[in-house]
Amino acid sequence: MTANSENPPILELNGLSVGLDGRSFVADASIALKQDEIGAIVGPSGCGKSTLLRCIAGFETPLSGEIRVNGKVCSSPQHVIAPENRGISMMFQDLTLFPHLSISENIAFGLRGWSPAERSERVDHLLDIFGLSGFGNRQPHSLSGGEQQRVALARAIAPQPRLVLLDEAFSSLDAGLRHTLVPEVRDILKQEKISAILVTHDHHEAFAIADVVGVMKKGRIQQWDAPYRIYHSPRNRFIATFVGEGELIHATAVDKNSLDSVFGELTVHDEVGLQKGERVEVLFRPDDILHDDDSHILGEVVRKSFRGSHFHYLVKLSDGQHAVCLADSHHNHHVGEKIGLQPNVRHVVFFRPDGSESSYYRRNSESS
Amino acid sequence: MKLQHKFSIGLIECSAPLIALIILTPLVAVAFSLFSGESFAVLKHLSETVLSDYVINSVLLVLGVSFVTLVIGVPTAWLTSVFDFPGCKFFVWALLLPLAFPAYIIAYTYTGVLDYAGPVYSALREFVGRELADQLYFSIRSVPGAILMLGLVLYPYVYLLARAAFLEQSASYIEISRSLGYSLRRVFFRLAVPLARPSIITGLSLALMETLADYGTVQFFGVSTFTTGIFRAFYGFGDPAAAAQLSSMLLLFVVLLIFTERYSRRTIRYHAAGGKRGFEVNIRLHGKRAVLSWLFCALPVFFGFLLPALILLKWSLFDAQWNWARFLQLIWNTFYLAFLAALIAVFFAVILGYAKRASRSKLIHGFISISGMGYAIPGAIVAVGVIVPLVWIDHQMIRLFAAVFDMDVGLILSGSVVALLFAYTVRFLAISLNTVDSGLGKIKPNMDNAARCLGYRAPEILRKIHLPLMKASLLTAFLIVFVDTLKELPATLMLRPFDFNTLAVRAFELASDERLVDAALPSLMIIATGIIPIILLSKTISQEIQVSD
Repeated sequence: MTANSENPPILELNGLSVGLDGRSFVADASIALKQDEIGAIVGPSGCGKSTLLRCIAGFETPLSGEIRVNGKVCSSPQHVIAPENRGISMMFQDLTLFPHLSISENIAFGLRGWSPAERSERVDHLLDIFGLSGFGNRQPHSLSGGEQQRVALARAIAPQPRLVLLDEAFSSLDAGLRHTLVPEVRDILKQEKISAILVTHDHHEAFAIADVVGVMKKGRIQQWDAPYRIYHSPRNRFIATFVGEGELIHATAVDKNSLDSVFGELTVHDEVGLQKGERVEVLFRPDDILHDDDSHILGEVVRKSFRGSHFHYLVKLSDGQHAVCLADSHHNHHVGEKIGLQPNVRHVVFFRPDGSESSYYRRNSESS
Repeated sequence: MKLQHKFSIGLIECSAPLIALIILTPLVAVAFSLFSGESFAVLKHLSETVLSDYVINSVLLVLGVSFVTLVIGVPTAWLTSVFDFPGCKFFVWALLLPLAFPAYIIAYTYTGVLDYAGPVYSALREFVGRELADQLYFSIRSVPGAILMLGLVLYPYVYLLARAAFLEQSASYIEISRSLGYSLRRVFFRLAVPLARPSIITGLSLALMETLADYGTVQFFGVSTFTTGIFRAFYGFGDPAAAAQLSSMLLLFVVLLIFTERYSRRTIRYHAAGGKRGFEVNIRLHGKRAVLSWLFCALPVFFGFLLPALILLKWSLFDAQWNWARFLQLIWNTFYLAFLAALIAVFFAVILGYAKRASRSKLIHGFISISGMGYAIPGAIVAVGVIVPLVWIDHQMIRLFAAVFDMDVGLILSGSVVALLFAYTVRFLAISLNTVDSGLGKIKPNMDNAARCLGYRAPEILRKIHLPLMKASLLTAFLIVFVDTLKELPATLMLRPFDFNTLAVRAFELASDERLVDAALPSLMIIATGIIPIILLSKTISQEIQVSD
């Protein structure tokens, strides 16, 4: 179909919009996911990410645009292939195990047309890789939340779908469990060579599982990029503040490739076209500012949080702006104390004040 | 494929207003009669003579039954939810048993025992002499007697809802207030009861709806109320219009109760917003307190169920005279009628349940909630409301068939079991609807979605997921409607085809002929079947407790 159709993306959205009664929940989404890649979409609740996923699964009809799976059109305003005929699995946030079926029967639910031998082999294999051996004959209600979530995922990938959709699949689990289960699931998906898209409001979860991440706000995908670039080269203020910690600090352009800020001069590339005297906001992540007792730049500690390996200080600068800084685990300072701050900016991310258009620039070529 | 899917959903959605319309027809017929002027004469006559009696007696009954059900229902609920004493586990479900008794049957039983000629007063006369015995004589056939009978079998409504509310609060509230220095008695009056008030009022409204619907007890005791008035107008004066007008006046009382109930139900949600249940409070009682608690729970069970059941058993086994062939006919009539009624009610409930699940339209949801109103409407009113439109249709049919085919078809609808089934559906649809609804609630929409993603189509999902998960709810709904149909007296009495008897009607007839002993066997049959849904109910209660643990 397309020119490079030798290996088309497993999933491709072209200008997809979804809506109801004239309101659109998803507007003009265009992304592509390569074979065997895992994608994630993060955004605050109500941003349309679940609607987008339901549309990919075939539960919603697009207003405009199209969805291609393996290069073939699956959804368009004129035609939607029913969910049961798409070969796309979906896993939901609420535990949707069938309560009247055993664990094995739940996992085997989608394995129609398989021979009994194949089926039991597949179920045993899945029970094994999900660490559920010996659970096959139990009933869903006798399992813990984490175990039930594993079964739900095993059921979703049992028929070896091309693509599996995970709708807030880990949100109902507690933090500790999520921390261990998410990387496990990534390994299993990679092993089984199944592409996946996870929808979540937690960027840690997205970063832990995905090869490529989309940040969504008010129905629009703001950026679709590798996690590294989402964090270090956010395209706009929203992404900068939604993903990861950090503060925006005022700076003024001295010439076309340097900015003057409370942390001294910052060098940017001249491609950006800075005008002398232009005021911008620079993103400082916690790791961009380190605590250094010898530094002459001082900040007053407003709030501190001990993270074990390091301290995380929120400080008030001399001009009243706030910044976050990392400090060595042994540098225990009190709230109200003035501490020295040393900028450690590898690359400068700044936003122009009108907000509509924002730019970023990396000073050092990154290695990912 | 998609189009077909949409079409079937649309069909189900459209059926919701249709069913609501069917349910509403009798009510509209009754309500309209208020404005049809022709028989105002009868009503005027009534208002000059007996209407004030109806109002006064109905109000007295409502007040009295409120008092009795609250005094029995609330404390027993408190005792069984907060304390632990010998027999407590047993009382949790035994306190529900009186629900198996229709009020009219317990009234017949106690009348047989406590009447002037009955064994109790005969014995009393022997012991204390005639004069003193006459002074002590309390006629059960009176307003207080009716209050007592109704209260004894209706308190479980209050008990059930109050207990659920107490269990919800017990853990957190009680422990907090005790740590703040409240005695348990103060916790009960100052916290537990005020917090449970919406639930208690809901239970009370249900009990009062049954009180206003009662015909058998008040008729037998010679207490004139709206229901006896409706019957008198209907049979005595042969004036359905006057009966309908009386019905619509009674309906005003009922509507008031419906609003109270629905309003309280809404506030329950706010009051229950105290978070999850923690540990169950189980304060062990010893000595005098344990004995008193035991007695307080045992008395309602004894007088509301055990004693009358034993009396009925004795009468049926040793004293009653029965023609067994006729009795079998009676059982057959009753059971096939109840079977059909339950089947229809469950069928409609399934349609409405799915319509509610599929539809986001407020209008559809409104129609469905209207369809669930019938439980509040007394059987006598439903009967009048059913007969008026059916007779009209029948007369049109007779005229049509006479003109076109020159044949006499008779009263096809109003004179057959169709009228009865219509009335039962109106009255009991709410019950099946509630049960089916909660069953469907357990099947989350995402379960359907998960199955579809795994390649299943709608009919397969129904068969492989919905049916197995819904089986229990459907059966429960069926059984409850079955039993309620069995017990329903006034509607059956008014609408039954000529010479068609059921257990309830026969018990009523025999009792009216003062053959109380002979009425025992059909009564016992009704109660024996009536216990089944109570067992189911207590099972769901204990399941809910397990689940929340």
